[in-house]
Amino acid sequence: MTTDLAHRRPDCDVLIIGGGVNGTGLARDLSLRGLRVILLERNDLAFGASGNSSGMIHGGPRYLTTHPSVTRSSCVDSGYIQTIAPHMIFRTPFVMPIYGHGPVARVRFDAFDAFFSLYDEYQPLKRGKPHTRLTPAETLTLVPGLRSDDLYGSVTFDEWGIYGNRLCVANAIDAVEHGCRLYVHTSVERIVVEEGRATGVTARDRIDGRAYEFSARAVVNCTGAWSPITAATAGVSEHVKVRPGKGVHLILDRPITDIGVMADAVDGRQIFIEPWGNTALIGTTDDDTYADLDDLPVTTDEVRYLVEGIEQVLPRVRDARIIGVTVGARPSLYAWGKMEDALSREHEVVDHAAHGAQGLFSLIGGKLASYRMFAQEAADLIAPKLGNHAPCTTHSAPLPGGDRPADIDLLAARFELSRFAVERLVTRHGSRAETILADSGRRGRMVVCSHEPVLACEVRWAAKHEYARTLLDVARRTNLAMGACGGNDCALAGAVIAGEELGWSPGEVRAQAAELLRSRQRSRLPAIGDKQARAEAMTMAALRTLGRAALP
Amino acid sequence: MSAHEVTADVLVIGGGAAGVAAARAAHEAGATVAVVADGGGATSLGSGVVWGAARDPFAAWAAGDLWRVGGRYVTVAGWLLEGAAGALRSLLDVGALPLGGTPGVLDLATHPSWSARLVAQTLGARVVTAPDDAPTGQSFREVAVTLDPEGAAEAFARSLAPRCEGLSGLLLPPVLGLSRLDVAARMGAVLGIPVGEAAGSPGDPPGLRAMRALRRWLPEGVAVLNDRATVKPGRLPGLVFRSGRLVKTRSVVLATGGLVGGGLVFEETLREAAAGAPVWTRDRRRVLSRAGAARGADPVEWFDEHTGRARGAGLRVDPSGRVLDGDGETPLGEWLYAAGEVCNGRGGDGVADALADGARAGRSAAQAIGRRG
Ligand SMILES: Cc1cc2nc3c(=O)[nH]c(=O)nc-3n(C[C@H](O)[C@H](O)[C@H](O)COP(=O)(O)OP(=O)(O)OC[C@H]3O[C@@H](n4cnc5c(N)ncnc54)[C@H](O)[C@@H]3O)c2cc1C
Ligand SMILES: Cc1cc2nc3c(=O)[nH]c(=O)nc-3n(C[C@H](O)[C@H](O)[C@H](O)COP(=O)(O)OP(=O)(O)OC[C@H]3O[C@@H](n4cnc5c(N)ncnc54)[C@H](O)[C@@H]3O)c2cc1C
Repeated sequence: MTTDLAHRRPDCDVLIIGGGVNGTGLARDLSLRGLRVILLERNDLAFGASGNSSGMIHGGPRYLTTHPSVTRSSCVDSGYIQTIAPHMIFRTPFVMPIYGHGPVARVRFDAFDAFFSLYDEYQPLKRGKPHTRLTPAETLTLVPGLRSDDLYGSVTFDEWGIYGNRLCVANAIDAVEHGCRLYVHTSVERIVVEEGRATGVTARDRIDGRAYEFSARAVVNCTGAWSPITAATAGVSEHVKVRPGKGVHLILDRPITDIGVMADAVDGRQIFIEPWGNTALIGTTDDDTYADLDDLPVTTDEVRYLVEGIEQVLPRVRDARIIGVTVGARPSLYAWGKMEDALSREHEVVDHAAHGAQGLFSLIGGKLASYRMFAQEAADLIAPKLGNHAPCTTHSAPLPGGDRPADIDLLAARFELSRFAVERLVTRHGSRAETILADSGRRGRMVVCSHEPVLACEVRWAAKHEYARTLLDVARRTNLAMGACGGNDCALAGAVIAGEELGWSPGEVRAQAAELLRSRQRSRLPAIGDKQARAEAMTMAALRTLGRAALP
Repeated sequence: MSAHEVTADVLVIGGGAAGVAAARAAHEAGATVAVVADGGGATSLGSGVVWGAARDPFAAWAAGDLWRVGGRYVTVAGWLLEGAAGALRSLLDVGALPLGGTPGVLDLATHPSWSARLVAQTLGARVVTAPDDAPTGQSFREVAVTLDPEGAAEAFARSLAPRCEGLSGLLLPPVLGLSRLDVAARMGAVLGIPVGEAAGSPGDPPGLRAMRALRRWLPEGVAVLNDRATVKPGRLPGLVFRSGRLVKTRSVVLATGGLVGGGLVFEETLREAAAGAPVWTRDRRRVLSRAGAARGADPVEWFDEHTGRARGAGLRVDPSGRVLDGDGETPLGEWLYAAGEVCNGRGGDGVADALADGARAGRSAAQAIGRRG
């Protein structure tokens, strides 16, 4: 196929492929510098690794000895993220219990102590507190229910968490507010390279099937684990070496601990449980994957591996219900033959000029925690090539909602809402929570999903202002249906509200509700336990009720 | 006989649609009947819509005086039209609504899943805005309960009357009474047009009212015991132990429901809870296999991961409703019957099927006693 992309006025300066944290982060950076950007996302914002990570904005103590530069850069950037998006980040202290007795345990304890003393040096960069050493008694006060027999002591360390979904949405929306054009559910089918230059892309809307051509002065591949596939459309995949490492998390129905707890899995890898809003996350696995990245499978074995590992330190994990799993593929830089876990998460901007495609770049690797810095590095390289020499401002310019703190008590009183509901809204929207509430009538302030809780006006907002096109997109942005009910209580209500905004026909509303229920159910299947079967039967009945109806 | 003992020819375990139909059928066949039920099952969680009640002669029979069958009934499930052969009487048949004229849809501020606009769009109806003093609440139940008291529904209807002029009927969200079955009729009488409601979601008033209507339909003289029962299939002629008390019976109908009702439980494997009867599942090839055998035990296998549907699981019964043993051929006991969702392949098929099944099993159980003498 030949196109004349090279000869027409480019549709934009930079075309970015991929709406994960790196794509949206770069879109924002370049838009703030005044460049004209188009961002295309095949699925939805944060659909990939970015929306399914552990959400830790840390330097990753695990990289401290092998890749201290990752630790430092992440810590510095963590500090910046706290400045620009204080509303969506939350402190998560962790405790690392040490079991055993005698000199062996003591050596282990001292080793961890020394290790975290080293980490303490980086903590001020991200407003973290220094680590502490705790006796068994102190540890048990901190984490009641921790396995106490053989407990030698513990070490605590301080981390920050963030909602990856919201981070991507905030970056994308800020980019849009600075001129970026955003297309979700629009997949790049081919990067067009003409006479040694990348001149644009062909793309297709995966919902309505429309085909697009966009011309651009530069094209950036930010497709994470997909990036070799994307690069292949320009014939440069051999220069994009990414090893997809599948990572699974389990979501529990409640935060069974206030503090993150580290544990050893059966194979000696470190896993953890952390409070996550009004749920808890257990993570994570790390295995090479060759599966369909748009539909990664989760197995019963992976669920068992995580539960059994955590059970060793926190037996009451068995009392909780697993209400879903998340799965994503880490875009780790390739390194032959190493154990998955030791792979570097460092990042690299690849300039494909040397590979016969001038103006084409790939961002590979990276971490949620260092996305801003990664985007800046890429923008610093790309913008000057396009004659733009504006400085980077993403470390100081607040993300949407991050400009000033929201007064939760005041909002709760003014809009007659529970403090909890407002607090959750504010975590997702910061200072914009007020606008969302003020825009809505009394009905808009009804709770749609009581488990999160999610208000009607937030669902409407996601559909109207945040580029959601399906009910699942709404769920990704609002946490609708992500609680213990799995959507049984709220899928239909959510679909009705989103449907009013997006002009869905009644049949479409139903189909969207059914799709959300089905997706939540699929997410629970690998983890179905005794307590869950009844709930599953309920969902199935509800699905059938939705499916039955047809116009007469 | 001690005070704690109950004697009945047929003991029905389960008080959902299948259980009530079984009890009624057995009673009509001349047996003495007792029902033991441990709370409401799937029947009380249903949306209140009954699909295909006329499909099966037994269902048609069961529907005899509970449902009106045959007419051109249309009922609204959620907010889409659902063609159905029968609609719960207590729900009021919105049948009259779309069959001519312009119906109205009340824009009542209740649960956010109620969108008068969307319903109206579907029905070709007109949106009726609610008066300021209309009842409101966050759930349908909250509103429904306010309409129960004598006079309340009538007063509400009077406040709506000026807004309903020229309408052929009025459709509300599922709020037409929580414990009273006549709210729709009372409002309709004031307005002079039929008043209907949309079906709800699990736990909403229509399902709860359906349960009430069913219980009311039980013949007089049928004892209802609120308890949990266990059956020992080996102990002929069927002594049933209930929390220490004893029921002397000659026939048992298991109408204990599926996973939702509690008849089936999933504890490492799928079990039938009351009698420990063998449970069968369907695998991908639609072959029946015993649950607990390697495939059936794994829930991921048991549910279809793509559609999320259960492949069907439950007891196997012969055509008269007798529970079959592990070989799938011989009855587990001459006197043990099963009906409704506890049976294989009937998972979630709906109230109409449960009714038909129940009626068949109840009648067979009563007749078999006659034959056994
Ligand atoms: C289980 C797990 C836990 C993690 N935990 C942490 C953590 O705690 N802290 C941390 O800092 N990092 C963590 N990470 C790493 C971090 O999440 C990733 O490195 C980061 O999100 C990568 O972002 P990305 O934008 O490059 O890729 P992604 O987020 O995967 O985005 C790529 C996007 O490209 C889209 N795409 C693909 N093909 C096309 C196409 N042809 N056209 C258009 N769009 C396309 C995809 O749909 C996808 O949305 C974790 C990762 C995983 C998997
Ligand atoms: C959310 C939902 C929505 C639905 N919507 C519809 C709908 O709109 N229309 C429709 O036609 N169908 C619908 N269905 C399906 C329908 O409700 C069922 O198919 C039907 O009600 C099954 O009836 P049943 O009598 O077999 O079981 P159930 O109604 O579950 O009754 C089982 C009974 O047995 C009792 N029990 C169980 N074990 C014992 C024991 N050991 N001792 C004593 N008692 C016991 C339970 O307490 C209960 O009373 C829906 C189902 C659900 C879950």
